[in-house]
Amino acid sequence: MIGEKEFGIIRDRVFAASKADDTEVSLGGGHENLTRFGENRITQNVSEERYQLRVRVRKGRRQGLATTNDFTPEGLERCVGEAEALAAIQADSDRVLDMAEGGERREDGAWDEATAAVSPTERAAWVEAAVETAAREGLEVGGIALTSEGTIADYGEIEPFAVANTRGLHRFAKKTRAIFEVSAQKDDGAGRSRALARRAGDIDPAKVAEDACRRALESREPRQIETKPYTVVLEAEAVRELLFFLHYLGFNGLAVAEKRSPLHDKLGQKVFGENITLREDPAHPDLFGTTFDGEGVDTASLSLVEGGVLASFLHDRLSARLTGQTPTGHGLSQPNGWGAFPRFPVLDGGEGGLDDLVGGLERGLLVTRLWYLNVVDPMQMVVTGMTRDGTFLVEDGKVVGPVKNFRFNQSLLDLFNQVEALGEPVGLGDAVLPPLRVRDFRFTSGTDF
Amino acid sequence: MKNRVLEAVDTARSRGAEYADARWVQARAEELNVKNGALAVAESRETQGVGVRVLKNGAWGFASTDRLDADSLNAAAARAVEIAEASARVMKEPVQLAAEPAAQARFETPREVDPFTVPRETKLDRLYRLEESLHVDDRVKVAQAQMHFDNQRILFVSTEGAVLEQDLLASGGGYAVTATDGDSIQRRSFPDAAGGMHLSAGYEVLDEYGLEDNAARIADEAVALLSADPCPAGEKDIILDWSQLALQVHESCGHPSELDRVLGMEANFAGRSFLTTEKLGGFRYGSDQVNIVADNTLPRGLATRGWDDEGVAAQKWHVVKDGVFSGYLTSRELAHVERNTRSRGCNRAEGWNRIPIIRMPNLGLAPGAWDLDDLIADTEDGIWMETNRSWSIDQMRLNFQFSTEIGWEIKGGKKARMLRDCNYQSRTPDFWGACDAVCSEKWWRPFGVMNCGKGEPGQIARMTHGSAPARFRKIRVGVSQ
Repeated sequence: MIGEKEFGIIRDRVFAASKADDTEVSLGGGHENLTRFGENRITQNVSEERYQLRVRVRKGRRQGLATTNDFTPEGLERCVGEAEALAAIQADSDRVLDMAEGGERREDGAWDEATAAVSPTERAAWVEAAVETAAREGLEVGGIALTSEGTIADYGEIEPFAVANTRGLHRFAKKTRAIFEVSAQKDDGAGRSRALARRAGDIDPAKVAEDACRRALESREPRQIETKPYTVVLEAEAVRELLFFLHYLGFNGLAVAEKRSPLHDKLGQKVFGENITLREDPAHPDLFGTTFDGEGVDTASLSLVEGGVLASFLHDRLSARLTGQTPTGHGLSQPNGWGAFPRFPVLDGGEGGLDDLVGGLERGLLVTRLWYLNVVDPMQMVVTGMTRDGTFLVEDGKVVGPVKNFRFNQSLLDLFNQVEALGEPVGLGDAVLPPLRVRDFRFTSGTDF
Repeated sequence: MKNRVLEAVDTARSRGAEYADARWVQARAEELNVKNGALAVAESRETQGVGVRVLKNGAWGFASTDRLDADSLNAAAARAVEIAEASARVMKEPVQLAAEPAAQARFETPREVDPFTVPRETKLDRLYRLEESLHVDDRVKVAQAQMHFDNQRILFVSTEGAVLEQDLLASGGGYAVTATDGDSIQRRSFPDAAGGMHLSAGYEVLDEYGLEDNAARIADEAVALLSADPCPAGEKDIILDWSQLALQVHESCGHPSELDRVLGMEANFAGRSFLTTEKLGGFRYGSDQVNIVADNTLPRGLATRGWDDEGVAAQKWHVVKDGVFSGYLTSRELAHVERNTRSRGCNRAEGWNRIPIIRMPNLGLAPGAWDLDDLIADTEDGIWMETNRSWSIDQMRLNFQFSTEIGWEIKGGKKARMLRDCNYQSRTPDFWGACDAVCSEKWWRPFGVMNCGKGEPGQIARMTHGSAPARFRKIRVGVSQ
């Protein structure tokens, strides 16, 4: 794994080669090991060490970006040359900003030596535990056992763990993480469970497997019920899927600047129910993302919604400039067309657990997980998607049995005004969210299973 | 490099591997994106490395490295063997690879103009002018025009003696307009959504799309959609254009016919499939009109190449023939499941750092007999839906819902009013069963998907889905209202 000393050598070589007004280097990647299983056997087992160096240069109001994984002096010089060549051929743009300032800061609180050293045999032992648990009840399991050091993200994209620029900004983070996911299947029943931690030692593979298997057994022989709006209890994993789209469509500073967000002119107004308080909390003990963004700007602690009232948006430096706001440290590496995203999302909850939410439901559904969400109407924040891995009918406060999955078309503007009750927040590793009980969740069609 | 990767597979063999292959990949890409009058993205990317895949004790191990000296490659090979030994702790049957002749050959994407030799000033000038021409109204809030080019050079060697070199090139681009009046947001893209249209070819493709000729029309449509009537709710006959059919084929035929999904190897992430193995050769997937053909030899196809990433030569076969499910997408490991002695050649990897997994080939709806004008004239009460906007499908690939950027009502055999927010929802076999007409070869066009995600760790793949417009009877539309 490339450490801070080696990053410093790369940084200095890039800065020495650059003739630009501002130069930024950001380095991401690392070492990721992933054991994948399905059909109660290991099906893939991979290890990669991969880095991506991004060199961004600014000349006047022009900028260019080049990336490489060739860290030889010649490779770095070529990368700087490419970035400068791209900057040289374009027209001036007032969207090209001077680079960020911010001094030096480093963080290593999310790094664990033992996690970085987990062996393939140890990961295989996690899988063995899951397969043994499943085999006892005749289930089939699949999933992943992942341990990593660095910032290779879930879909292979690379986030920076180090950012430095010629204005003196320097950020460096050491991170490890471990994930164990199990999807269990028995006949027509399915269940899933997931653990995400900064330390592999915090994961109990047998418990993850037991949770998935129990849910798979409970969800067998689902029955078809009428497709119509129901009051639902959404488990925290389901809330996470919906919240991603709420952030993307509503709180992304770039969407606000371009007037694509339906919330763009509603600061200070009541937009959701009074029971909704949505925050970004980089200091939360259950969250362990990197506390600086793609430009090295420190991620701020802030409220997006306070008691239903719109309090702020998420901004990178560009959207902050365009809207006259302050950067919040939620940007990606620049330049990009995406804008700002949450890094430490926390939705405040209540005191009861999932059972309490279900107990207060006269008739409705318990939804454990949502799948394949996509935007139908960005202005009304309508998203569609499916339920997955266990959907249950609730009557008189009790789960009475599984039902077949539904498709929904639901406005998020409506949903967060229809929350009847919130449970105690659950730490999911990348978000802290409560289960919710929501009125009139709009199911529009069903499926065969 | 050839000697070093050959040494790496020898290292794996000397450590007990029954089989090993190594892939060196050198990739470069260029991306230019002009947005609202300014260059939003000007990026040049390069990466190279080697991935070593081994079978030991009948189980897989894979390790990759971006350090290209011999010691690092041999260390990666040794790590792959160690990983395979761990994999063998949790296995059922040893992996058996279907036989494939070990070739020594080279493949290169045909191209007329290498896009990396075209001056960036030329490309940018064109993008600036295109983007400027999209600002037809102050309700156009975002306009962007973009180009993307990438090149992969691959060297594949195996312990079976394969030595394969490939030089793959993709080029493409397009533009998109977003208009809003405060109540509605509408978007139009050309020639396709999601970054435009790409083909395996050179810069010449960008002179074939009619980019300049269509810019004003597309921008006008984005604005006109703001005051268009919404898609009615109910059952209608729908005719889908190329872009929408491409994604329809991709999601409801391509993914469910991936054999690894069918067997549960993707269950934790992308899900399973309703096309279970007993359905092969007998299941009525669609009407007699429906022929879906996989073809990795398709000229300019995004998945077209000489061999997949385990050295299997490109092939052509029916996935659906005359409406009946006829063939899976397979790898050397899984070919035996469909009682085939040879893989279909679908095992591809995103890059040097990823293990190959079953990926969609070029997969197209074969042309029928209809002329498009005749098909519209034959439709009494329908909607023409054009350019995909949104998609969602359940994990068994049955219940889907798609939206398009624009629609046109068809009344009495004529295109009538413009419709906004068009969408439709159905169940895969019902939908393809309702296909009663496919337009002819004259109307067949290759569209593509550049961003198909699958696998853990995630991998992106690309493929072309050609089609001619097709009609589907009595489909539920306007489902989000």
